[in-house]
Amino acid sequence: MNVTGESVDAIRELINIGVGRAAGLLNDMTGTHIRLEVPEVRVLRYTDLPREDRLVDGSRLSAVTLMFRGPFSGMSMLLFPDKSAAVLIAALTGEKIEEGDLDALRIETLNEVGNIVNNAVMGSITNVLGERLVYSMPEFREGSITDIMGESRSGAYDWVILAVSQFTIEDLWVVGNILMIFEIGALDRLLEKIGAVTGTSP
Amino acid sequence: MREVVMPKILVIDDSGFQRKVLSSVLAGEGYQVVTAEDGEVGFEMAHSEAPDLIICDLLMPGIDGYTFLKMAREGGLDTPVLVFTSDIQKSTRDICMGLGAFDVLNKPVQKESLVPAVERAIRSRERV
Amino acid sequence: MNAVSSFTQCGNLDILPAGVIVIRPDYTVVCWNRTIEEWTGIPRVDAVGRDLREIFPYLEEKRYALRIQQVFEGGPAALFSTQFHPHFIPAPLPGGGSRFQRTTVHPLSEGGETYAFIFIDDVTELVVQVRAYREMRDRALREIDERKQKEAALEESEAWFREIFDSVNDAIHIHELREDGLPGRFIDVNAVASRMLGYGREELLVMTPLDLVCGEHSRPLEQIGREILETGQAIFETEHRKKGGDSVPVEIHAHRATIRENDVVVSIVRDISQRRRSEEALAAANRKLNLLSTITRHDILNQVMALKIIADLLEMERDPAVMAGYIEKMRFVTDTIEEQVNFTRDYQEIGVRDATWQNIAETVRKVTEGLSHPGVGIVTATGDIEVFADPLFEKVIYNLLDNALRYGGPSLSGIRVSLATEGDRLLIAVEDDGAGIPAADKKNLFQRGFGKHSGLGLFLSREILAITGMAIRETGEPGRGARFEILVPAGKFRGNSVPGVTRE
Repeated sequence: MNVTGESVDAIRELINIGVGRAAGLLNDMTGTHIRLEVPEVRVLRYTDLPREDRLVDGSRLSAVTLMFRGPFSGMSMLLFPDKSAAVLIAALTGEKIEEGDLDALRIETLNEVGNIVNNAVMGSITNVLGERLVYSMPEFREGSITDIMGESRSGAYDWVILAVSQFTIEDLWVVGNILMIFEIGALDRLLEKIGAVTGTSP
Repeated sequence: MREVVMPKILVIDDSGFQRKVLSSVLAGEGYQVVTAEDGEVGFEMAHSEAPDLIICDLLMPGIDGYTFLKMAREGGLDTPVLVFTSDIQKSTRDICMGLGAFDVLNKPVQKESLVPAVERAIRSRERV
Repeated sequence: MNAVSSFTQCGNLDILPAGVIVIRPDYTVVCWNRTIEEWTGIPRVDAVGRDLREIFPYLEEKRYALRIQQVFEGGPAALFSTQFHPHFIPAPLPGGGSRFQRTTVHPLSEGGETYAFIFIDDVTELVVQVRAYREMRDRALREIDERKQKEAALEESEAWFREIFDSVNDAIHIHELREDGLPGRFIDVNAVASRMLGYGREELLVMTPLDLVCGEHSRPLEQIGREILETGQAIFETEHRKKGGDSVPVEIHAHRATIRENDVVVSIVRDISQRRRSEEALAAANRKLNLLSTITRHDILNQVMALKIIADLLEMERDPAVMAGYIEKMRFVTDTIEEQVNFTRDYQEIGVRDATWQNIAETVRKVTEGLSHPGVGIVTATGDIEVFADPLFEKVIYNLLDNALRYGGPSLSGIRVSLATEGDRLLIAVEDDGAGIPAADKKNLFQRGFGKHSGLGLFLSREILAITGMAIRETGEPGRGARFEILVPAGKFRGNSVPGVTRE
């Protein structure tokens, strides 16, 4: 797979912009400063995804996923270690929540948080690229990273772009990851668009 | 005919994509643009190139934007610094202003907001 | 436009059970379905064409505006959850309160125009259910918590109980209670029970208390069973057989109890060997005190009466030779009184002090040291055996050896102290090769007053031995030597070299 450093750099900046907006919205909701880290963007085989250290940190994860299709397809997700999701909801709603006690209403609340973050990230990408995509509704999933990705793989492809952006909700000590997986079939189209916008060639 | 020397702007950003986009917009306005890919090189160039304005990213590996602002202030650098970040949190803006930034602008580049901010920053220095 | 007019009519959207509002990017309402009309009380004609932010001014706030903006820009649908936005639009319920809502805002492109499709679900019922569920769950959690605390306390108390159970001085037997009041199998026993009986806990748990009993109960077993059934408790005595064969007298306090829903008996079993021995000794001492206060007093009064008579006779007598005879009689009588007083003094000591374990060989050695026995060999062959006896046991041995030396005559050359067994009794033999006991004397040998010259006399020796259940007899052949045999009952002797008896 030949992806130039410039393309990866461009993808990272697009994601950065989305994460920055998401942080602004999360800050509004939690009233807490969100510390951001430099996002990591890597090209890797789909089958190697579950072995990514940053993803498997914690056997039980909670995620709000958003699938997208169109000129490029893939999945964006907000990913928390198990306990963090409950801490976050407790902070957002002012409830006292036992660890792991997520009922329909609380899951929906977490869905909204994921919706805000995912939409911000996707919005920034589609904005810059001027593309229209079709999205699924946000979906809450729990389990290992393999459980969460589930049958999301839509095509016969080997390579994906993995973008991980870690953030910390400072007062709550909640660490989350924004994770994007672009299918490789879509990757050429994405890089093409980036090239067109930035004047670089993929 | 008197030759007008256009102000020099130093762009510090780890993203080549951002450096390229910013440079093309600023060059299009007639500014001289020099770039640095991290805070450390940027801090050297802030002295060696004697720019009229510095535009600095926040999230960078190594010396990030916050550290750069601190170093600039502690080093007595009087060049105005515009922070250019995708982070839209008000708390982030407050931190940067507290560290002596001239202004904080949000990515992505929007010519309509970038150019007036650059002009304001450069004028502020001329007045000093 | 067709699309717009179809929204404006809202015809199809009216059949939806959810509230639907469609707006343009400038927030102009193009559809306001019947459900929204019903919820808000605002008729469609008053809403369509107006800016939605005029109707609901809070929609201008960033938390709504930014996200709806993203939808118009072609982003994914925006979700407004019930917990954050319980009432996206005001919709009072007929019975008071407001409908809980879950709202999604979807992008919709039709006829080249972009719309936002606001879809509002009434989730009041869900909220009620979830709240009920949460309450139920919280209560369940609280109950689990309480139960855990109780269990922890129970565990602690069980450990505490076990410690007490194993650290008391008495054995504790817990066993089943049969319907007839008799004991069933052991359920648990403490460490003392194992030590007392020599059986391991596991061995005992397949037995019943009746397997242990080897003696008589202080009351008929059936009666004890009835007492337990009727009054819930019984106190009785019996004897238990140890694994090694020895028996141990026990006093049992049995209490009926319910443990883990089983009808059981908790018995405190006390080893009363020591108490038995003391009781026996006390009984013997009492017997002797009675003897002292009746027979002895009577004997002395007899002698005193004799003295008075002699004194009267002496007063009337003038013959010096006869007078000398009376005086001699008076001396004899006073000697007798003195002896009787000495007897009461010695007798008093018997049973006063507790019986102790005494080594036979050691005792013989001590006694021998205090005796003069020129030309007579004293042989002790008693190994390392101890007997449980009154502290005056030493005087008994002294008496036997002294008798042999005193009455053995010229043929006496040796005395032998040896051991043998008779049934489960130990036999201590003290024999000599002297003159022996004449057949005529054998009958009165152990009567009080016989053998006036010897220390305590054989009568007292027998009494001393009887305190701890020992008996004494003379089995020697007249003319060939005396042989005294002391019989010690099982349990009153110990040691590892008892002839003919295999011991632990």
